[in-house]
Amino acid sequence: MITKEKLLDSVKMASKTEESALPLYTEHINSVLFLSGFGEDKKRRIQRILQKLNNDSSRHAETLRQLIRQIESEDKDVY
Amino acid sequence: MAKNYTTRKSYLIQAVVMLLLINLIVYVVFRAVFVSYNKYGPIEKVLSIFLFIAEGFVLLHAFGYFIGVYRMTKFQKAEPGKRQLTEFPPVAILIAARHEPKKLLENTVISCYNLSYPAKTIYILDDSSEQKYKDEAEDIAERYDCRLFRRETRHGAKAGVVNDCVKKLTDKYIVIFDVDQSPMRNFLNDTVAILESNPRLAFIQTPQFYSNLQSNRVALASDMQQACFYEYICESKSTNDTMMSCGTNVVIRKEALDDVGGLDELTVTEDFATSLNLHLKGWETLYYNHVGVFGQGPENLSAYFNQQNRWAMGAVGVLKKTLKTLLKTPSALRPIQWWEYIITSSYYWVSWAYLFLILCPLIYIFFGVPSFFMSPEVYVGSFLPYLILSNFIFITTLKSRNYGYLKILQGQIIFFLALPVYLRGTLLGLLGINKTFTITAKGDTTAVPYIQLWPQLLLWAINLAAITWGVNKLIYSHSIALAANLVWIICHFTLYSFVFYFNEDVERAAEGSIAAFSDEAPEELKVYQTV
Repeated sequence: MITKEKLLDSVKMASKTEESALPLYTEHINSVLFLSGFGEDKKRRIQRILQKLNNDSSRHAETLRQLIRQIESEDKDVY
Repeated sequence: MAKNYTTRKSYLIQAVVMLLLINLIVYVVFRAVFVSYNKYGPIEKVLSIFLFIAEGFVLLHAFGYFIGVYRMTKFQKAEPGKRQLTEFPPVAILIAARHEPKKLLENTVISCYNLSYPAKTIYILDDSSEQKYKDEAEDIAERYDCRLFRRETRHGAKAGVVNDCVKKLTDKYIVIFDVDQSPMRNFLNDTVAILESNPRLAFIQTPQFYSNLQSNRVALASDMQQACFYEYICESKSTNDTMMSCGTNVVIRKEALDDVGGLDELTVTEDFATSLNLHLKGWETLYYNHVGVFGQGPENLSAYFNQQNRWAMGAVGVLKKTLKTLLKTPSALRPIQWWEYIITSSYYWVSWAYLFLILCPLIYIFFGVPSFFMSPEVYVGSFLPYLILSNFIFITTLKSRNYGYLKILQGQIIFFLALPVYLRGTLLGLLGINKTFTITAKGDTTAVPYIQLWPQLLLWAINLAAITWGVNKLIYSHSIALAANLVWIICHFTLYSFVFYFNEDVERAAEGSIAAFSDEAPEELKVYQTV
């Protein structure tokens, strides 16, 4: 059992880190690729995968924002 | 203990290094003979002695570097022992901040928050005096469930705030991150496991790696300059148990830090000085050459020179302390440890050596006063092989770790541009002028006004004038000595011309931006989408 307030806090934090953390890691991994010595084809493949993960992360963040709106609109105090 | 591990390529590198070291000794001996027995006047003699000492100092450091390369190609880099963690000792993560851009601090906190290690507490050590930064730190601390540490009286800069905070902590391990360093999720899992397997290990240092090197020339060049240090030099030091802390991306055993009274607050490179204190007390240290933290490199020449000046000043302080301790208690460290500390803390004095190497050809071109005495045949026969062999080893060994030649060259060039900064830093350090710790400016990507780069521009202009004057003289005299000096002057002029290349205005790239590709799932991910 968890109170509405605590649940909202947790979901908001998850949303925030989902939005912020993955782009951060993506930038870091990109710099590794730059020095990796991989051929251009392999770099492009990896970058496409990273872009896909980045896009998925945006969708997760949007899902979490919808969840936040849903929880806020409900009358329940305990989940 | 490193295992003896040789492949055909390793044999080749070792053989070339041995040849190089023999060549180096032969060259130095020849130079000594020519300097001793020249028949020139007193001014030329004095100049030649200074030039010889300068050359010798540079070659001594080269010797130290190549010995390290030899060791690392002869012995397989042994992975340190790791204890399987069933219990997780508490770790305090300290992020020292003073008037830092909010986004930078927040990114570091987010990365620390996302560390998978369960028993961690994040502390923002906020030493800001301006209310805006205080409010921002409070906001970040509240949103990410961090502890905010502040103190009444500011003393000792970063070392001071860390010490004041650590006094109140009971965690077994302390991690120090600069505000622009973001750890990856597994950083603590590996490093704590290593520390748990060896109770005499005071700290584990991991490399610095910059994420902004694709968008910024200064960041790329300074990263490449550090590559030499973080690859062979640090690995070699670690095998000799002389690895020094670099002040960030380091996990420290609190017991060890308490044993030496905390971080050394009397120097601007508290990390380096504290490492010496730890080694003097018999603690062991380790370099773990796996990038687990990503940071932001200096983004303009001002930030870069500030950073280098601080390091140069701090190193001189450690050199003084090392030499004093060596004279008082020579048995306090093993000979190899003394060698490593002296060679590292004296590194920035190569700037004075290079100053002579730059000035002597100029003195010859403008005033006709020679300082380099060696017959052309002996010079070509002894120095040219050294030049070729040293570059071959330097490039090959770094290339084997995926560093391209052109990138490494940028690191060497920016080192030359920083020579005037090292001159100043070493002088300030020698005179004991304790300049207040200046935080390397983050986020400033603007070009520096050229008036602030006057030492580099002065060297550039003098070398240009010397080329003009020297070419004129060469047309009439056809002197080999003149031509040889001109070659060096042209090299120096070319190096200093790069001040224009590095001093650029750069628009900061958007965070997390990568090439936009189609949203269509690549083959590698389709199997996951059907689950």
